[in-house]
Amino acid sequence: MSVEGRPLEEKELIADAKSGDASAYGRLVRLHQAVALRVAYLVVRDHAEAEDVTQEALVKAYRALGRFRAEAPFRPWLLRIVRNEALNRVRSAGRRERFTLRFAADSVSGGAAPSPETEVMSGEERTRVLAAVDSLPERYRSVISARFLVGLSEAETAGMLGIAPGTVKSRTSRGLTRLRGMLGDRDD
Amino acid sequence: MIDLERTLGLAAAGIDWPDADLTGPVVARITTAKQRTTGSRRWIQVGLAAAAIAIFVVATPAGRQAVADLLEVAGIRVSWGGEGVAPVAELELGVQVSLEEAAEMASFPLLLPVGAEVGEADGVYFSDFPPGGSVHLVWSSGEELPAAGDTGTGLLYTQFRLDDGGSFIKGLPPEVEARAIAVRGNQGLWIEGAPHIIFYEDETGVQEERSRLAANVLAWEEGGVTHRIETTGRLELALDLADSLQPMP
Repeated sequence: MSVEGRPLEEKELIADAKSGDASAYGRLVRLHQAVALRVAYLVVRDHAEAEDVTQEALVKAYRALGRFRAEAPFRPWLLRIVRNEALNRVRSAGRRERFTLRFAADSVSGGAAPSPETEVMSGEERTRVLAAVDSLPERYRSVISARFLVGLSEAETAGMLGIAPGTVKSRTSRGLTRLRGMLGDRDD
Repeated sequence: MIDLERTLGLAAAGIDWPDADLTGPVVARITTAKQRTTGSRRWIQVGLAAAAIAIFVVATPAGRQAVADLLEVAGIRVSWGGEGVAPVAELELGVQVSLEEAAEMASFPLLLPVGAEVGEADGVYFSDFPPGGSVHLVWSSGEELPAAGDTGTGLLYTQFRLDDGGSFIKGLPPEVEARAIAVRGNQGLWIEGAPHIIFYEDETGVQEERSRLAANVLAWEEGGVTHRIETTGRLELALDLADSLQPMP
């Protein structure tokens, strides 16, 4: 999920896609769809809907490519469209409650064996940690989720959420402090 | 002390993330769409949460729209013909904060009124919306300041900087008067006469479903930041507030 070392090829793919090359855009989709799906899923909390939202957003992003500035980072721009689409979907549905995230270990059809990391954390502990994240005020939850659940950098989080990098930094710090309090840990 | 970042990473690794390959469906859709393209201009669609989807079609004389184009202020676009649009949201100001917190959270330097006729604001709010964030100063309604539009406030001063290339779109019904006006040496616009619809469209053409009715509005851009004052009061009141603004120390 790292963004470092983004291939120069991406800029070429964007230029080709802008000029109407659908297969070039398809390669961009392949590069970014995993993280896009994560962003959508954290908002809509449903696999099928996350896939639908992401597909819709990727099509809209293609139509909007003409307004994408070549010197700007592509992924935050794309993820902002995905997140907006997901938020609009939830608002349209008039949904108030936030569904619970599904865990890999709970999934019958997941297929993949649990990674060593997931074996370290019990299901109960995961539920407690993610419930604490969910109970954060939106301005902290959005930043903490983007940074630590989706795995975006500070700059990418700022770009996706449309806030300054300094704001991401301060909200991350405050959000983590609140989480620490909720999870029963203290600085002293 | 627990390593919270690592704990969050472990929790994230346990989430059953969707992992569909969307390449095929997306490429198929954009290829089909290209074949269907007619070049006609897609107009603005505002979704309603429940039953209706209102299509906002501007059917007013071209001359009037030409005037509206001259009224454009960064971050605000004006179109005539807002009759068919229904508001779907009430004003959302975000979280109430202190001035200092607002200054810290905003991605732009704040202006504050000093010695304005309306006095000091009764509340300060910060919102993540639109992208780039916005800071609202609110004056309560009263005899001299009737509640403005659907804001429930007597006067609302908002500052925002759009970081995503989006715009607030104002759909003006025919009975509304709009004119260009100089505000603090910048081109601005003044809209009055009847409530008008306002909603947000980001750079991709995706509309936030937050359309609402606004009262009289004075708007201008200054230093890359868009400023708007919304009130049922007269223009002089809004201009007095605008003229009183000074950079926050």
